[in-house]
Amino acid sequence: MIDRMSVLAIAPLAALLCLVLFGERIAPHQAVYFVVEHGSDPRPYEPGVVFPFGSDVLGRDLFSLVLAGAPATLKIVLLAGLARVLAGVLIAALGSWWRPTRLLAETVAELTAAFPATLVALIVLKAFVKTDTSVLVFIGALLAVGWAGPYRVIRAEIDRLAQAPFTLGAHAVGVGRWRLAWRHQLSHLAPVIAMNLSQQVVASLVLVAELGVLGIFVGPTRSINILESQTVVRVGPPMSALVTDMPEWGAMLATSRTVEALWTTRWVIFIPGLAFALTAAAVGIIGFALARRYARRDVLEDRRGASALVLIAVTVLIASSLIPERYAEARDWSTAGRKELRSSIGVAGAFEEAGLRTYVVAREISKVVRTGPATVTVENLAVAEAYPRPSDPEPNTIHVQSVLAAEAGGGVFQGPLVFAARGIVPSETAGLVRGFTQPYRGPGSPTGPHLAGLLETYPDDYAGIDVRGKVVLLVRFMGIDAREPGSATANYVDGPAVEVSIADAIRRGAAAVIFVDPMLGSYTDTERSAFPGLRASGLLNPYLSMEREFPTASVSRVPVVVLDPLAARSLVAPLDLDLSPFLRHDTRDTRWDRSPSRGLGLSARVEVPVRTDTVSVSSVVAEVPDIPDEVGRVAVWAPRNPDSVQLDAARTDVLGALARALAARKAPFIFIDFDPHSDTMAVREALKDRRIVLVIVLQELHGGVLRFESANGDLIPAFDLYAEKSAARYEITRQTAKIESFSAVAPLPGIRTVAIRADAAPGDARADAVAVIAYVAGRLALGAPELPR
Amino acid sequence: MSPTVRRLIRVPFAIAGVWIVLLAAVPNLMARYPAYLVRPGISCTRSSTPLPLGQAALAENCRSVADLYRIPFLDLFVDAMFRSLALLVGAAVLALALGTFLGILAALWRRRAFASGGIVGVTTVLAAVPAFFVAYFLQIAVIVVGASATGGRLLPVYGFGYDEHLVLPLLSISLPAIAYTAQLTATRMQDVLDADFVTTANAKGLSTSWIVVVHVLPHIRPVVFEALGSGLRVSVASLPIVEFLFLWRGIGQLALEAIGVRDAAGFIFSAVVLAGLFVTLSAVADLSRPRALYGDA
Repeated sequence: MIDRMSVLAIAPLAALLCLVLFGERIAPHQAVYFVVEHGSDPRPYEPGVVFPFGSDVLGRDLFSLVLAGAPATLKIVLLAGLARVLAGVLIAALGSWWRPTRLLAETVAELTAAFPATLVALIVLKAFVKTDTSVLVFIGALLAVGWAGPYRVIRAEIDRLAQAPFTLGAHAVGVGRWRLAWRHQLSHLAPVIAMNLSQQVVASLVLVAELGVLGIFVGPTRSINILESQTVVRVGPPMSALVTDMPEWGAMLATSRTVEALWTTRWVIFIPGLAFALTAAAVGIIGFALARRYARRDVLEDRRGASALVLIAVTVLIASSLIPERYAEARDWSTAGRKELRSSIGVAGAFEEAGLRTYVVAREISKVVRTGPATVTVENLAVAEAYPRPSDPEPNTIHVQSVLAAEAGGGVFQGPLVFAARGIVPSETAGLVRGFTQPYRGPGSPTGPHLAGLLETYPDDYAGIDVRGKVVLLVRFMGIDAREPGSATANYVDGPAVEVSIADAIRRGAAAVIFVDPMLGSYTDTERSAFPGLRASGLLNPYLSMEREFPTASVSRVPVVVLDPLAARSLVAPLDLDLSPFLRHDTRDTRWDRSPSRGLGLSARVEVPVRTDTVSVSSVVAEVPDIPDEVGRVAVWAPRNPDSVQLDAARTDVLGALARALAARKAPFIFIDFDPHSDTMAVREALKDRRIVLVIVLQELHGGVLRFESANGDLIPAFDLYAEKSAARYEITRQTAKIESFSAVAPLPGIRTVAIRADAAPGDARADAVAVIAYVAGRLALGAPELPR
Repeated sequence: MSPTVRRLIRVPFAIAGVWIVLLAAVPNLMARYPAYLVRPGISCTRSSTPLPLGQAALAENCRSVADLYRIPFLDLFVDAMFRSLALLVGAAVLALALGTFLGILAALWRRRAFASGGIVGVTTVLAAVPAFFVAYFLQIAVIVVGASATGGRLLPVYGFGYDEHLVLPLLSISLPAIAYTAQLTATRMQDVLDADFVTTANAKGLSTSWIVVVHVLPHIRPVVFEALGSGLRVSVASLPIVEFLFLWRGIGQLALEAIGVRDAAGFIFSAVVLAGLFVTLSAVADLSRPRALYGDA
């Protein structure tokens, strides 16, 4: 006779199997689909407004998230339940066969069972997980707090079986221990194990849920901010939230757990909670049915039950082949893109070869360039800059360097020379900033003393002198060695950045600046690496960086010349001015009774010969032809290195491969090889008739691991997913870029933008970059809703 | 020495063992993570300058749970114990009364498939549903269903009080115990009702109520205590999360907050109380089972 309970249990068993195997595939939407706005409805959307079961705080479908999170959650609890029962069986068997282990096992089990599992799991996970909780660690914690229950039940059953008449009989006729266990005892243990497995799965599920409520869950998190993706910002709904990389039910509870939510957004808690409850009930029913079924049968001879299970497994597997992966064809696009990767000689040639419509956006720009060596003359002594400047000079070969950046410009000025020492103004030091937001401490001492605190007793270097309309001789303030008395380890608190000191002198009215930098000879022009493939943070020449980032726009600004100590000493030798005390770090004990700044009673001449050149810069724009005007396009924007007249080889190859792969499939893509000396407005003007919906900024590919950056938080999980699906090496994007800082990267304001770069780990990221962007094209073609149209 | 005495002797040893392990491990474990606030909104303001609410730095200011509530630890601890005991005693009473009643009913209706199956099905599901979900469900149900036009509520959905505040946490924590008691009582009672002596009693014309009270109930008493022990173990296990959700400052909530502020002593005291409850309830359950279950260990 068919056991009705068993039939009843098949439905939840099949449902759970489907959830584990299909999960996201049968969900209405993927976890990367955000509805950030829906008319005037506030987020999270109530059930029925956008999605039948409502949305989370960022606008994602809760029902889809539950389905997407099912595989991870159920695998964790199934594995944890299995591990608990397996550990129980093994330890019980060991204790039964080898008596000395029994006392130990009993004692440890007694203690383990006595601890409150939730609290112990919480404290263990807090103590041993620093950033992201891995699945294995989570399962380990669930095992550690839960093996004792199965152990005690199975041990009791083994003891009972050991005294059973059939066991004694088997012993009497000489049946071996292994045969006895396998042939006679296992069939009696099976119901207990099956029942216990279901109980342990439920217990693990409950523990996962409780830890979730307490804020502990599996996997890394991202801080997603969707403010930039909104067209209307309303007061009230939160713009940012923590989102886990792997959808998981515990994490869904963790991110929605407040008392206030019970009144305002209760569905956000209720839906994942209901998923936990239904699953626990389903597993409970399965366990109950198993216990009933096998209580009076020999499991090894119950072919009917085994056949039913095999039938379910086969059905689920067949269904698995019928439900394909979502947007599986986009993987073909990705693979096709990878295959197209080969060396391209130039971007324009690659575009033409691919059959793209190519045009050049040219522009005339003004540029201040040097026309001769900068010179500094004091009385009859002069020092001059090497002109033209050697590229990447050897150490200690540059003694004089002019600066053409920001307020520092070219020209000639002769006037009285005044020594401003190191330009220290203690009252203003607290305002000295690096990165413009944090009080400057110095790179070696992120938690060390503040410079301002150490300078409290210093005299004001500008207090006794008037620098207006004069040539200012200024020495770079290296900083203070703030080591504690008796310590052998230096603790350098660096002085302000050079640009800050120079700008300060100019702000006070200096007509020319002679800046003495003890480090000038040790700078490098480019970032060198000690290890191939890795970037080094070496001593990059800060003056060249200034010129790159803030080029001067006028020939008539304050001439600034930087000298190394050798050149500076040769100039000031006759002036009775010893620069040595200023060229090193001060110590905590250094005391300055009065500032050494003073007028030097001489005139000095500073000359930086420059002229304004008009140069033509050109960006190359290419688009896949025959795309209707109304179709939204994706722009792949590759800004050249400012020092170079053409795009670097790696990105040239990437653009070439993409052009070939996407042109063949008529993907609505535009490629831009952008000259950063030009301005984005020129390109925008050229593309004014095109509707661009997404910009992918392809930054330099120095390493082997891709990184994504975006101020549009809703695109972040999507691009991580694309990288995963296209089998690219990538680093999980942890947070949304700040709009203020990302605006320097995003070329077209108002259009959703993602930047791709590779600057971590050795390797070649070209193929991966091609694969990810081609995958985006594939999904776009297949209608993935998360991509704008 | 009889197995019963041996089993009882294990109780204090187990509690002592838990204490020793916690003393050795907890301070080291707590040193490995930064302090955090379990519940946003509470803070330790040691300085006179109030800091913005929810700031992580506030957790660093707390050295103990006593700092959180500004109550001496002993007073806090004793108060928390009484609060948790109120829930557990309530759960035990409910399980004994309601669970036994449902179990007897299911057994007496064993010939009525729907009625008996319904009780068994419902109790099976209730035994499996996590306490946290029951808590959320009850809170939401009270908010949605019980809300009046004037903004009032049927019952308070969180907070402490030996009054109507008890209802929701008590229900959340006692459902597993009720379900276990009902299931085991029904199973055992069905066996007893099929026994020869009950058939004989029926044949002699004794009334059903007399048979149940005089002849059947004494046989199911051990099983009721076993079920009560097992069910209340689940209740104790869910005590921290239920107290957390209802803001019921009992031993479980205290232990959670002690983990947050890295108060090793507070956590050890709370955990030992919970462990004591576990061990005692396990002993109660074991002593109600056949001896093979606790055997000669």
